[in-house]
Amino acid sequence: MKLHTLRLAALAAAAAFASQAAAQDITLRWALHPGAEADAVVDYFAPKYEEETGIKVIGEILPAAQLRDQMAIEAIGDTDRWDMGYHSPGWFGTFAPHVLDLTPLIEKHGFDVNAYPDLVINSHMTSSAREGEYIALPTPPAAPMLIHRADWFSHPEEQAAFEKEFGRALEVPKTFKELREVAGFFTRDAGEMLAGQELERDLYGWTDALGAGVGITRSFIVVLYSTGVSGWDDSFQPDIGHPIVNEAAEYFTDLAKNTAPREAQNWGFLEGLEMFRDGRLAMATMWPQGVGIVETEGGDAAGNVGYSTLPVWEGNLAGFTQGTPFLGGGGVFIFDTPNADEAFKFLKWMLQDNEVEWGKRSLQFSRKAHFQSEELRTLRPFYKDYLPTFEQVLQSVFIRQGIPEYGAVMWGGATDYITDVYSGDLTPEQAQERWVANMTEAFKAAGYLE
Amino acid sequence: MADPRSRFTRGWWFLAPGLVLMTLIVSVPLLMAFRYSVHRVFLYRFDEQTFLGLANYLRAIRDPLYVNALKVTTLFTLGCLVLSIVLGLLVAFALSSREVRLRPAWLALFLIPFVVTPVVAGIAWRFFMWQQEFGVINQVLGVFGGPDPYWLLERETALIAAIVSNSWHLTPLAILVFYAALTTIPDELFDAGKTDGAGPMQSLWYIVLPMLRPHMLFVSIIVITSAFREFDMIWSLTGGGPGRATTVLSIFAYDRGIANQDMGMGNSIAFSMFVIMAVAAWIYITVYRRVLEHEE
Repeated sequence: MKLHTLRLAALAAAAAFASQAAAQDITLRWALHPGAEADAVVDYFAPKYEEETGIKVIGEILPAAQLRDQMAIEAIGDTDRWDMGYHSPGWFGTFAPHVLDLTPLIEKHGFDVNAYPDLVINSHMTSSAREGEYIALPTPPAAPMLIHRADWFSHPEEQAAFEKEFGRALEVPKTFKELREVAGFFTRDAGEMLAGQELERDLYGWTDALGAGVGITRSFIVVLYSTGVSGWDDSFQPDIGHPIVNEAAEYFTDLAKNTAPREAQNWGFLEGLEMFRDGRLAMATMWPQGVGIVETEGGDAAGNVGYSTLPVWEGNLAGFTQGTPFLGGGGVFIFDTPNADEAFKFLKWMLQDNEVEWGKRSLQFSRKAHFQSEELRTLRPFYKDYLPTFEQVLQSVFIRQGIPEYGAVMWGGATDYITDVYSGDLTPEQAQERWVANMTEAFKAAGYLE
Repeated sequence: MADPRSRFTRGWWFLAPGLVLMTLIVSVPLLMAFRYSVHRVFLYRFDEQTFLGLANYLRAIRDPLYVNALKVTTLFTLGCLVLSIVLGLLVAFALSSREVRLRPAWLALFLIPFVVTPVVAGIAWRFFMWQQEFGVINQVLGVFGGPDPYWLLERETALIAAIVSNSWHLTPLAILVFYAALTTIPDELFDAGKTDGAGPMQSLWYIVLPMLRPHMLFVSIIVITSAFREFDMIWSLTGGGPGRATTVLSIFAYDRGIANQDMGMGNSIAFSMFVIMAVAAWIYITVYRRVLEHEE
């Protein structure tokens, strides 16, 4: 009996050792987009998971501009270089044939899909390219909001001056028309007065990053989607030929040229928010990754940042009641590699079992629990205003279509369109005609249209 | 003594490793690029390739954006060529003067721009030199009461800024080649010129320039090919903007091939650059050689 017990104990020890050894042999590799969430994975969650399980997680942070193409090349080449990849709904068409259906893993490991707001599920977990499946888990879904200088908006002199000029109270703009008026009101030269003080440098009413290519496209497409345009309808007929598209482009050009700093035309993502932090901007379109910049301790804006959803486009085609940007940011999908099951277990551990910790470390919020957590709301002084606003932003966002052509026909098309309208090289009608023609041609080439 | 035939064969054996490497590194990607350029190939539908013949090329040529990119590329290349050659000649000529002290230090200093990565150089020029408010150029202009333009944001000045920045990167090559060539010109020629009353500019014009013509051909070819395909410097400076003021062919090819994932179109633009460059270089070399032969 003793011998038998000893044998069993030895066998159990061997099995435990073997399992630990096997676990230690597993290395999960993840292609990450740069940002606070990637730092959280590399610096905190990966080491902690290895400590707890013996499974190594290597997060490879790739340059944002190369991420999609590097992942696409590896996926097409079927190299198994990464077990997990950065998921952007706008790119998903490229990866659709290469990623795993997570539905069985979600059921097997008890991942709670309903922990996310509905639009986040629609946008970041499912795709028209893989109907009926869950294809990714959201990590930092992101959509922009409007920020403003609350102290200037509430200053009696500014309120009086605004009321005198526009015949109404100075408030956070609720429509894009109001945004233009308020932005124009706050655009002032050095030497003029602001909230009882003389300006040492020029002040601008509004900005976004407007650099050539990605910058101006991202900024414009937010306005464009707010008009209720989708790009195309269910039968792949372009709806970008609607006159509202040209109205949006003319509005955007006027707003950007007359109220934003000229430097904005050379800015990439988040670059202009330093100017808001330094007290040279009254309003800005801000993606959530920028909140740490505008609230930098010691900055001119710290503690005085007001948060609100983007204004509504009056007469928009979809009946939106607030500005409706596309839901950007991303998630994580799992490539079809031998480590897929372990990769899912790791993600479930990080995103669900440690959901509040994930919010704290990544500074990105997506799960319902993030918005309800008292711990997160009090984590930083401004979160009590910021978090409810971001939750509201997520109530009305555009879900990008999962076709592979999205990047070319919608993103690339919008780039060509707004670049030529903004620079004056083409009239809005000429640029629109070309965009519609290119989109139609691409859909015909893909077989969506005859 | 080996007969000429066996020497010829042995020569080919020596060349073989280099030729094989060249074939692998240059020819294979070139042929693949050509192959993609005559197919409809999207990165996201890589397995579904359709032969199109020259349709991608025709689409590119008919596209006003391609024509604009070709025009911008030509202006950019010519600007870099003129600026690099002129500056390179002047600096090399000045450095070769007997009065110059610490010549190796000066040479090392002038070579620095050539070893700086173009992306880094572009970012540095963007933030430290061309920046409207604090940039060195506007600060200097301000001292003389000059204007303070947004160099990189005005269509009229962005291309000039890109040419100047890229020429800063290319000029050291010209300096190096011209300086080396100048050291081979016998001092007697300069002494004879001085005796005849020639000043520095006349020496440059009547002695140096004629002696440097073969070297100018070499430098020109390098500068033209480098500027014609320039991407990273312009990308980091302006991203191709404002509007399309600095969208050269390589940026346009990237935009179509990578950003839009239309590898067929991207490769047809890239391959058209190769053809244009090959033809231009051939014409340039032929004409230049004939001029030299005619003068001899």
